[in-house]
Amino acid sequence: MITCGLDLGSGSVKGALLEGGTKLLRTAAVPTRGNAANAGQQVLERLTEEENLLPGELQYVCTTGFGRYMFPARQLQVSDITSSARGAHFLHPATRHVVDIGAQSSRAISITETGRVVKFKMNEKCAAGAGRFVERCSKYLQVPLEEMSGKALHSQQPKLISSVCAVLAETEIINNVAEGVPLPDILMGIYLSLAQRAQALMRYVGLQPDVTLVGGLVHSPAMVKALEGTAKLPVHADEQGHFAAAIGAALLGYQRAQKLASGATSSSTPTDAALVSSGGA
Amino acid sequence: MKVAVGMDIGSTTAKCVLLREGEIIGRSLNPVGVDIVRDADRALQLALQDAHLDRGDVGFTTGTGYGRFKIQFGQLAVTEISCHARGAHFLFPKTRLVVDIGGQDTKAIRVNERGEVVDFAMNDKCAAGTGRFLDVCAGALGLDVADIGPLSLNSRHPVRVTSTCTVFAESEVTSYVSRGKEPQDILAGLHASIANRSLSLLQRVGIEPEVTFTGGVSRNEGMVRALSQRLGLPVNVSPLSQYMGAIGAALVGEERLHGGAS
Amino acid sequence: MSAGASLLNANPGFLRDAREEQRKMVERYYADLESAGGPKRPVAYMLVGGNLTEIVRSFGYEVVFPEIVALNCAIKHKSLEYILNAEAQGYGLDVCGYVKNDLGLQAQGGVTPFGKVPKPDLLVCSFSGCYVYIKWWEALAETLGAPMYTYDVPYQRTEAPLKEDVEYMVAQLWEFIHFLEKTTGRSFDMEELKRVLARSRRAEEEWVRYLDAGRRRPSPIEAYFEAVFYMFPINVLRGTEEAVRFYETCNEEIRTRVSEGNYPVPEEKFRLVVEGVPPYTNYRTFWDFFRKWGAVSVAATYPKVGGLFDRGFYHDPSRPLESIAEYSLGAYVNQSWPLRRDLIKQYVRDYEADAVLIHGIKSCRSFTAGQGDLRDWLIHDAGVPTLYIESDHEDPRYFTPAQIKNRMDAFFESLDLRKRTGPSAGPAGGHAATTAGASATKEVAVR
Repeated sequence: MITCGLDLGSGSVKGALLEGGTKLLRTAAVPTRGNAANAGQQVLERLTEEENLLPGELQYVCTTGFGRYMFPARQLQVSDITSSARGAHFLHPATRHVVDIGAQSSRAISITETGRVVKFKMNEKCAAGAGRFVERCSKYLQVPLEEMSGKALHSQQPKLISSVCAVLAETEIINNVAEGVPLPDILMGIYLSLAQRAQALMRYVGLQPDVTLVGGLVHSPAMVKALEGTAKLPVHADEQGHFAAAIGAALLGYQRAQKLASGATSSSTPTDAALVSSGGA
Repeated sequence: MKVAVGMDIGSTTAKCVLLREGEIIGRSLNPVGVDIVRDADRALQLALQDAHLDRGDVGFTTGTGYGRFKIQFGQLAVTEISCHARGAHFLFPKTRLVVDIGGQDTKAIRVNERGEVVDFAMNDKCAAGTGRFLDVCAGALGLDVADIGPLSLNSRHPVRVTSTCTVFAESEVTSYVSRGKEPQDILAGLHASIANRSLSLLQRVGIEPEVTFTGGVSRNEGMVRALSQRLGLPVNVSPLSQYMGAIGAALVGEERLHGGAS
Repeated sequence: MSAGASLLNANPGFLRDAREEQRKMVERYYADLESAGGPKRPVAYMLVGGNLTEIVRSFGYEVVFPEIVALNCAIKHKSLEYILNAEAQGYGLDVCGYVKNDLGLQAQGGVTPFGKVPKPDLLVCSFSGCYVYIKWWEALAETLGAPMYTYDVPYQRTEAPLKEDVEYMVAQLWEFIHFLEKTTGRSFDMEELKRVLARSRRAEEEWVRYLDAGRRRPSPIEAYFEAVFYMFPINVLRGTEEAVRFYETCNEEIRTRVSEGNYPVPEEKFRLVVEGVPPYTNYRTFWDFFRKWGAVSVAATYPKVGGLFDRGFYHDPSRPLESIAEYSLGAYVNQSWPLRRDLIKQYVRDYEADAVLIHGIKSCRSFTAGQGDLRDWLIHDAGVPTLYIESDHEDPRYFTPAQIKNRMDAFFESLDLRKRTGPSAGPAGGHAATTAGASATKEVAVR
């Protein structure tokens, strides 16, 4: 059985195709551009095309992310906490702690050995801006996004940015530039500030190995290094970590479809249970 | 006769204005990056070209903006608060209140009849309702920020926007789109919400006509209208509003050049 | 353009001997504390505002002020670590930095870079001025298992405390004394308390003499940045000879300063009255923003959070409990807003200040609340140029140097202009009509 998970985020829509709940076939992402339903449709079309799926072969679509209710052609929607947890567990089964740094918000989730959510915490109202913040920094520091992390790793004396608001943090960075702080130190400071913000969330839910980073910053070794520094634990980052929530959704969709196929129609599906049991703030 | 140079180094652009006997004779605007020293130099070069002058004609240079301390050929650094006040007063002499909405800051500046700062207030700790907020919203709607002003003027049923957190703007806008709201109505709602936020800042320093609107966001007609409606007062906007800080800096410089107030 | 740069490299103008002595005093205090705690040398935790140091010490307690421990942590750049610790326990972003520093520190055993802070044997809570105090102490009582004693200090709405309030306080002080007798098994010794109070009084008078020096032009003291360091003995070591000697040293050094013409800033350009708790995490950076402009604080309210001695709230051995009661009631933190703003206005007048600077604390919703109105009142009603800056006393994430510096520079620019071209140009106009400004300008021109 092939299932699709769609993670409709504020920055981009991510999709994952899963076969039999175990095999990751393909992933794709498209920028949201203000229309999550459209972007979701595009991702879905691209995945089915590239995978040469026949009509009817895709059996179940499960959405997640803030736009999960905006995609009409879905059979199920799950919260991004549950899907991120499941996705991280799928990619790295030893995961017990998930750090999810998205475009707009960050969260830390502790999970069981089966990928169930134990406790989670999201950033408070202001301490946000995670992934987008790095993108914007790349724009006005005129450093291509893909070079940010590499350059940051050359830092000798990282310059921490002291601002709770991600937008006002830019002012501080501009000031650092004006004061002649070396670029790598500014860049590493950006990652360290993000790690610092994530730290309180991570400690709140309880830090335990293995720690897995998911979200858009998995390809930034500087982010991983910064998190390892504050968490004082190795941090695992999977090549497909950006798609963790989509993968998790595809997996939860698969489990639901299995349940339905086996004739269980009770409302107490594993997905719902997972949603209910995910205590936290 | 030597010229006074005003150089405004902001977060994204460097603006340079040349002033001689109270007249703007040259200007330039170019992007600014990590190498502020070089970019400031280029801004001066371009402005001098614009006026058909060379460096020998420069009498006094005043820097403003966050990069003001990096202008190596400058003699004086003045905050953009003082400069916007001077610039607004220069272009609209009856100005008593300046609203400056820039990339990350919103400032309300009360000025006296001489264009001097009497009181000011700025957004604190939160970039909600600044120019960056509109950039992000335009991006989320897939629009160019230059187009959102005119588009918003077509709105008939503006949405009600309560949160103006820049960081959460994308999901805010996206949720309106998904609820089937028209882009112009979303934009008009956003503009009204920024106008509301600015109003509380303006009230802190005291509202008195004439009001002059400066900073990058003043080029947005939708925002001008929203602000004017909220204030119940007409709002002055100059085509040179982006240069306001640089003009103010040049004015301060010209004063020094001619041995005005020491 | 680099006019400020050379200045910034210079050391801020501390009183050399006094600062050195203060440093040693703080070191000795924390070193002594390491071995304290338990029945032999019990430890009492107290809050600074209107504290009962003398009574508690007369029963043999060592005194710990978690607020002062917290600010020492912030100066040593350790507060964020403890704050994150507290946030990991679930305390939110908006909870007071002092509280989070303390709870985070306690959670890791009380070990600071300057020594181990002992656990409390007694928690004395003054319900005064700050409403978070009681919740903080309850959290400590619950996690550390110490008994908690709360006394209620009525908020002050009159300049002189009401007779009823003083009687109410004295009754509570007797209750407290009986409680301490029962807890420690020692009997109260009024004669000993009077001796302690006599020493307190001497230290207080010397402290006030020091603060008064700000009236001179130029001011030989930095009444905020410097005085904040010298507050330590008046709150923590009150009643000891050590404290008396310390302030005598301060005043001797001030006399030397004046005779040598060696002032906190080389050229005094602006005289300020400062209100609010300092940003301890970036103390030096913040101070430099002033010094660069030749600004010196000549009076400040914060050094008086423990007690408004300069307003006559001295301890008096001839009226021991009454004077303690009046002192507690009269602490700056316990004053209502009209009293606070009138006091600030009087400081502006008496110390010939040019402007007021208010530093607000983001995580404080008690002492700081109302400072926005204070700013408006000072500008619009009192006609005093006022700048309001907000960051935090403990949480470095709220200190944004670029923005703070920009506001300060703009403020001093307009203050400078006001000095050069007359009052109407200054940042104090507010709602004053334009015509009033114009006539003021003419006056200056005539002069």
